[in-house]
Amino acid sequence: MTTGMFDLNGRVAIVTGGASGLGAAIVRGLCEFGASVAVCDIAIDGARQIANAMEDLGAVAWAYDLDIREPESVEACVDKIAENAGPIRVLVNSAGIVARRPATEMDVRDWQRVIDVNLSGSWYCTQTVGRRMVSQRTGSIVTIGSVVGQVGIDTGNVNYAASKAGLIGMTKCLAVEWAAYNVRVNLVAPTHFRTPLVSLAIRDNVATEQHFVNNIPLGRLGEPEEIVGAVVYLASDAASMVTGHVLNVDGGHTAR
Amino acid sequence: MSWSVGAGLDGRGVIVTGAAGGIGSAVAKAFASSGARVMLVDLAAEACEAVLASLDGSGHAWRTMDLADVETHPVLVAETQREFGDLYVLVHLAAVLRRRARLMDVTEEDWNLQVDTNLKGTFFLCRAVAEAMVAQGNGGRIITFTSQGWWTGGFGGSVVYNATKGGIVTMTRGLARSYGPHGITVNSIAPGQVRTSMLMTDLSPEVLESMVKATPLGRIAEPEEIAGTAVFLASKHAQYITGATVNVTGGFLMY
Repeated sequence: MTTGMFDLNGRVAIVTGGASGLGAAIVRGLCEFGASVAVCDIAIDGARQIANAMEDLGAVAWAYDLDIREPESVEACVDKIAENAGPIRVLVNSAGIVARRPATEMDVRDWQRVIDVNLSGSWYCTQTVGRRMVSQRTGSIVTIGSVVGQVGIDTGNVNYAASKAGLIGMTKCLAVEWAAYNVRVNLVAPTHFRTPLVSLAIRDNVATEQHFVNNIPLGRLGEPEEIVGAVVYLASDAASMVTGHVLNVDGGHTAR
Repeated sequence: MSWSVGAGLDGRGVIVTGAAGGIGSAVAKAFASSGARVMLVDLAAEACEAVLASLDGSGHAWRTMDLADVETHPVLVAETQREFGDLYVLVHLAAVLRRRARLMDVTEEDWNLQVDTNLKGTFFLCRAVAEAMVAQGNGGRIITFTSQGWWTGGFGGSVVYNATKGGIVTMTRGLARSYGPHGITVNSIAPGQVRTSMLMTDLSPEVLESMVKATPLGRIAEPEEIAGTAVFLASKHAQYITGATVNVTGGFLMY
């Protein structure tokens, strides 16, 4: 019975930013729980690699070239996925970027670039897939936010913080608007995980690993695999009464 | 990481308090079918036995205890460790609601009963269990139960109950910070309206309809829909989640 609650067998899922970092770990997790996954990324080679690796494990996965900043490309891509794979039951908005700069020095381009991908891009995907979910009267949307959207923790990240806070507003609004259609909308908010984005920050001396760890009661960075359970849970029927929720996967960071 | 669901729960010792209730029995069943061994705790002996008989697997046990009495806590911990050789999860549901229509009807005895059971009982039980987990040295999972009222505050005489539930959220965060370094996660679940006998008894169709109307998903929850969240939080899949309160309210609560 319990296994059945988390089971995603036969469900089609889309993961944006699925080629690397948390997105790649999420693709694997969804596959392991039985979903068929469309791995969408602007880095198509990476997406192909992940999709092939999933096929080698006996799962069903496809790679799609997608720049989520282009609403028309998003529509075309989602149409193609639905045509090839069938009704889309799960969307994971995982694509995201950072462009760190002290706030006083941040230019319009740094601001716009991050908002375009993290907030507007996720919205285009959510609206496009959401329309289909509303008309099919079922679906679960999981957006990857961040604790940075809730608490001020490091400097030079105002564009990222604003984009992630915006996603929380989007999540709650849509949770109410689409609840009547049995479409659930939730957000998973990680603290610092061992991903390319955090590794870059450490490499570029934005902060040391110890600085990140100091914020986290569990005393370590998250590993990408540790985000997966939260996404699978929210995507599955185990969370059938959960919508509009912000689930922090943060080793206690926001409890601090 | 193994991705069989309920990962890490096979053969592990799990205490479920309030196990005879609607949500508690669904939680106990979900853990049993995830392979865990369940210690059922409730004031109601007969109901406990009935739940025990309905569980998948074998090697489960039950005890009747009044958890408002802190002296029962070390006994429960010791007996669970003796029965199962292991104490890995505490799911603490036991609580009392003394519903009063009006604020002015609340007595000091109402206050003491609810604060002792819900707040004092939770603190001392969680601490006793967590200390045993620290001594075992293998981490652990503690799941407390709050209510959507922790945020709304309730109304009339249920303000006292909801204040205890707010205390549980705060306590969950503090315990998560304190025991994080030992690999023990502490999280809370906030259910909304759930189809249990506690809710449905004497509930008029009009009140039920107003509850449904206030819930974006347009229905009240089944007890099994709460149990899935508890199993998730106890599983390896949630090992990086601590100090969180998960709203299982159909969208009634969003914050």
